[in-house]
Amino acid sequence: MVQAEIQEFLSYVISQLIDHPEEMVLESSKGEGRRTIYKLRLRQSDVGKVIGKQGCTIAALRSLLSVAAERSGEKAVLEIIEDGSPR
Amino acid sequence: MNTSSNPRDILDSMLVLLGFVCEVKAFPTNRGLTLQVYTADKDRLLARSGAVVDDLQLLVNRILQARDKEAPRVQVDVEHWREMQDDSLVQKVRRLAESVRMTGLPIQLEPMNGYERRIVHNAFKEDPDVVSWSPPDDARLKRITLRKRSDGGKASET
Repeated sequence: MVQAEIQEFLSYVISQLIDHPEEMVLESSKGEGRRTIYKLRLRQSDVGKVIGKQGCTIAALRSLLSVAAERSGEKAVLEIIEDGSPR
Repeated sequence: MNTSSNPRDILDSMLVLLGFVCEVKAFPTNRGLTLQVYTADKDRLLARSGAVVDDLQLLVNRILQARDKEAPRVQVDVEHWREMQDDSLVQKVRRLAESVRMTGLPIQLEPMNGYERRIVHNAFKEDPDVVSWSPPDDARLKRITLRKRSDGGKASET
């Protein structure tokens, strides 16, 4: 339930920050322990918009992600996948 | 999901998805629009010394600016907590400014983020004796210097 809400939160915020939301792919998978990894793929020109100046935007997203996950004693990680590698 | 361009609706949607049961009210203030959040889960929202509120504020503003580059900034507050924090910051720096006024010696303040720096610069905008200055680089946290105003001295609002 929390995982679905977090995914919806990320999708809601990120889709409004970028120019090509139709190309956004957001997937989640269970990692070790109670960790969920959210993997985000975007058009290259949108990556900077999600990262933000000095990484402020992605830092805020990751921080809020943790707040939401902690509610159910879980951990959450957001990765931007570029050329097959996480960032 | 609602994709309204109303700042109140954007914040409300984010909070609901983050699991907060709350009410968001919008108030116009002299610094623009303030969104006050009322919730029984106040402690969780004010965790990390207000960093959660700062993150919400940053994202709401980023969404608004993504739609309109000239969109006025909005402030996010939780039951007037930020308002009280801002007032106490202004009182603290005004006390420090008294020493600058008396001795003429500059004082460097603790590192502050852009939001806090704006509050300090605003507090000294009209001050006849003391001027606030921060280095014109891109660092997120900067230390403001309070110094005696010389002729033509101008504050650097960065």
